[in-house]
Amino acid sequence: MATLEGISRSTTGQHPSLKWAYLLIAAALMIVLVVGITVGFLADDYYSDTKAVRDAGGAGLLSDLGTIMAIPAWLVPLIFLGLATFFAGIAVVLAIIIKTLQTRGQAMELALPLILSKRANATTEEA
Amino acid sequence: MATQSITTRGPISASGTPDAVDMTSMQSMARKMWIPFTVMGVMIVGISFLIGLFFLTPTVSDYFDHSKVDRDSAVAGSDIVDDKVTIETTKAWLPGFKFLGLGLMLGGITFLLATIIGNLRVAGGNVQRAIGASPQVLKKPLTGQLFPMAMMMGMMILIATFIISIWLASQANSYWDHSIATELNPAAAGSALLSDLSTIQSTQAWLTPLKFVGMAFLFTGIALALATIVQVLRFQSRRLVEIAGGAK
Repeated sequence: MATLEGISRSTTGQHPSLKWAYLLIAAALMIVLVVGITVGFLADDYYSDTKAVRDAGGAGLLSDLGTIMAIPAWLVPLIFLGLATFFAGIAVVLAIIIKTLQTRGQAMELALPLILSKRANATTEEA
Repeated sequence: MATQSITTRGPISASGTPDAVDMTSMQSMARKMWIPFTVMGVMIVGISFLIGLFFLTPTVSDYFDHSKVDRDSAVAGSDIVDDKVTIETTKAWLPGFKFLGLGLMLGGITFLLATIIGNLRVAGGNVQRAIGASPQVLKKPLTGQLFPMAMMMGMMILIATFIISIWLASQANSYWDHSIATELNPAAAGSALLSDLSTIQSTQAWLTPLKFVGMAFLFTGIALALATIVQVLRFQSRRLVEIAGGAK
């Protein structure tokens, strides 16, 4: 059974689960930023050579090509992992909003009758 | 209850009603802007789809109707090369345009959340006034200060990537407007053509992740706005309990 004191205590400070949401959002931002920074300028290196040299696969070029072709294999899933982490963070905050709305409902349920009876008493005394 | 976390408005608010609590200027602006942002976003994404469907698809179809030998040997100015130029330039700028549309929609959602926060603020103040307590509102939390910045940062990144995409399309246009067999394939090391190719490929390598960085900032803004709503709701519950306890 919720009490006014209990609600007052539970709504003081930050919601404990909110830190998990912040953690998820920070992790997601880090993933996406790291992806953005990590992707270097390998393509610049590779495509500076003529087509004949590229097709012959000279020293280091095949390795560059392999890297260029391999990057999307992990880059795209990693970007989506970052976005999924954002959605997880947002879902956590939405779940907290539901809980907070329930608490708010309980607070109204308990506080409003008290406030109204106080006002009624004050009006009676004035009369 | 920590009194540091709350501020009390003066006796007369901007609306002229005694003790009334109004939206902040940012919230008032957000209330007007969320619809244009969302509508523009939907329009851009829709236009991108139509361009893909009615413009890019027939061009790609036309281009690949020709044999590889014909495609490679086609000279600059021919229909085949024109098709290739259209395909490559559209592929360069269209994704940036689509992301800008998505960004505007996410910006619209952020504005909508700011409007919700503003409405909670006004309604909370009105309820307090109606029950005879002095209206108090939550002092803007850190999340409330950060979410508009994250949203603006995201929008700026997406606008920048779109501008870069347009520039990239011009580079693609100048590179692909040549015969593949006689000009592009034999291009010598250090030539302008290879330099263009190198620029196109390397720019695309970082431009795509940069678009996602912009989206990441917009999602961060949305999450922080939601966290602000949590804090406002918790403050209002606490305030109600406080009023019921006798402290005004």
